[in-house]
Amino acid sequence: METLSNVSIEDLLRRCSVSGDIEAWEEFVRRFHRLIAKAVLRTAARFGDSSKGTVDDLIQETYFKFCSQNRHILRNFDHRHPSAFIGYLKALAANVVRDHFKSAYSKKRGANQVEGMAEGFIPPARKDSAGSLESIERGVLIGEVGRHLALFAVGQDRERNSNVFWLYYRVGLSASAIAALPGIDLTTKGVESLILRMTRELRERMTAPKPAINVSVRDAGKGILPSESF
Amino acid sequence: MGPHLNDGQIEELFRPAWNGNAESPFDRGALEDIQAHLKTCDSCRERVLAQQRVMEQLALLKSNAPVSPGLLCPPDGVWIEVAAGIANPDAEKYLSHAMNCDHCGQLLNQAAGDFDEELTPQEEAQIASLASSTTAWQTKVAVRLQGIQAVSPAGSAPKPGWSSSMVAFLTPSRLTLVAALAALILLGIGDYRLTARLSSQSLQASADVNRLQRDVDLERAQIAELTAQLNKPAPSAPQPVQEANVASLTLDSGLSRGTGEMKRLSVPSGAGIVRITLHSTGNPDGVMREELLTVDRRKIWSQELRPSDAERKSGSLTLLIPAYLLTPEDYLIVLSRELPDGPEQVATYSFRVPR
Repeated sequence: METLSNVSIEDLLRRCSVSGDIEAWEEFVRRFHRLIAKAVLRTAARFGDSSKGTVDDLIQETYFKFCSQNRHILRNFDHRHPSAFIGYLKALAANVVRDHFKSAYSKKRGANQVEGMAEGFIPPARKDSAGSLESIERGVLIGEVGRHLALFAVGQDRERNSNVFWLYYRVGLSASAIAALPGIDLTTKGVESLILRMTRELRERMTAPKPAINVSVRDAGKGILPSESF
Repeated sequence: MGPHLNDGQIEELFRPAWNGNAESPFDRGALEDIQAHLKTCDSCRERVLAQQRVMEQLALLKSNAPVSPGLLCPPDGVWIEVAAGIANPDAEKYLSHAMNCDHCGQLLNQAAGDFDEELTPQEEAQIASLASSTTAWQTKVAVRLQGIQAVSPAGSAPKPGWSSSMVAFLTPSRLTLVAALAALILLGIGDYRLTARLSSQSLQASADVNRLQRDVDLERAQIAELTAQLNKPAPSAPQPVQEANVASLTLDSGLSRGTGEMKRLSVPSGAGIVRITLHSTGNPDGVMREELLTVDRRKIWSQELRPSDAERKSGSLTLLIPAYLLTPEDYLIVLSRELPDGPEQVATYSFRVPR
């Protein structure tokens, strides 16, 4: 016999949307509480206020979003893949927190107000800001890695594989975060394995001895002699 | 010293932390042998060090410096949806952008971190200590959620004896009274809805009229100012007297990035007109439309004009803009050509009015 705890998300949303079924709502809150609490807690922490009162209020506000516009979300959600609603829930919770803090800061500082800056003020540049030596070196490195990547990331998944590599090393996403992105179509294990393979290949290519330029002075003939190195 | 390390043994030394639980082909003793070999074999040590350097370089690919958004960056909220895995026709385009843009890459990283599956022990404790984690809180919220949407549940069973007592209560005279009352209430509701709708439409219309009025006033002020400027008698005094009231700037097409590259226009106090010469306009012909926008695409001013012969030959256009419109801010000028099937954007220019 089907109980509420093993009913599908789709059916649960339907029950919550079409009837005043308190049991369905209890199951809804029970099932998604941890997910919502996690997203709210982390996003609120980033905005600098993860106090219990604030987090509880924002969790409650997230639940009430489901009843807005005559329960439009519950009635019309498009379950195009099994974890579609989970993704939607995370984004909804994060946006509730973001909107809350944006509104709070706006009230605190005064809406549409911009702080003045002294004429001639030149902000001090960071060591790694655009145009710095570090930034230029990084640009060169990105170019070099990109060239190697273009040589060995081949086949029909070439673009996807290359994206996974950059998302891991340049954006800094974890393998599980990459696996959750739309269009990647790999499990976390699949992403990990792909990164391992690509990293190994890249290490070997970048450490392989460069082919020596074997031109003797006598063969060079007239003109400028080939330089050994810059 | 033994034979040199093979690829598998070297690979083992670079096993990433997240792959530490995967089954390793090497036991503890074999790993100690690898380390011992490295101490005595220069060749293998060199090989491992070279690979180690590559790994250190890969760690430098990630930027941690705060980066300002560029004009092509999508709104910040996009990254929450992308990180949450919400299907979006533009998701792949956004991902490609994030891979090449440190500003958006950092936002995507933040959003992905917020949605990371694993909780730290500290987060576990925080969530467990929330009031919303208690069954009492959850039941209370469930009741409220159900209450918000429960609208007189249909088909609820009447209490025993309800219908018979109702029939006894509703005598013909009372029925007439109830019907009259119901009709009055329905009329009242209908009237209230109609009034509310008309009131809302009226407010909307007033807002539209006010907005249009403001636009018209602004246009009139611009026209008056430009007309006054044009109707001034030719100066008998030396040219600089007139030029003192005009601030000038020459712009080339293309958007500037970063604070250092943007052209600056200083508007001296007393300047009535700002003359901006746009270069690289291609071949300005027909009716050209110039729009002055703030960087958040708020329209400040616009005009349509036909370029003069001289302007057509030189491929440049000169705009005269009332100086009072240019408060300290960053601006864009979007130049477009009016074609029969709609406007075609020709060039975009950017400049800054400093404080």
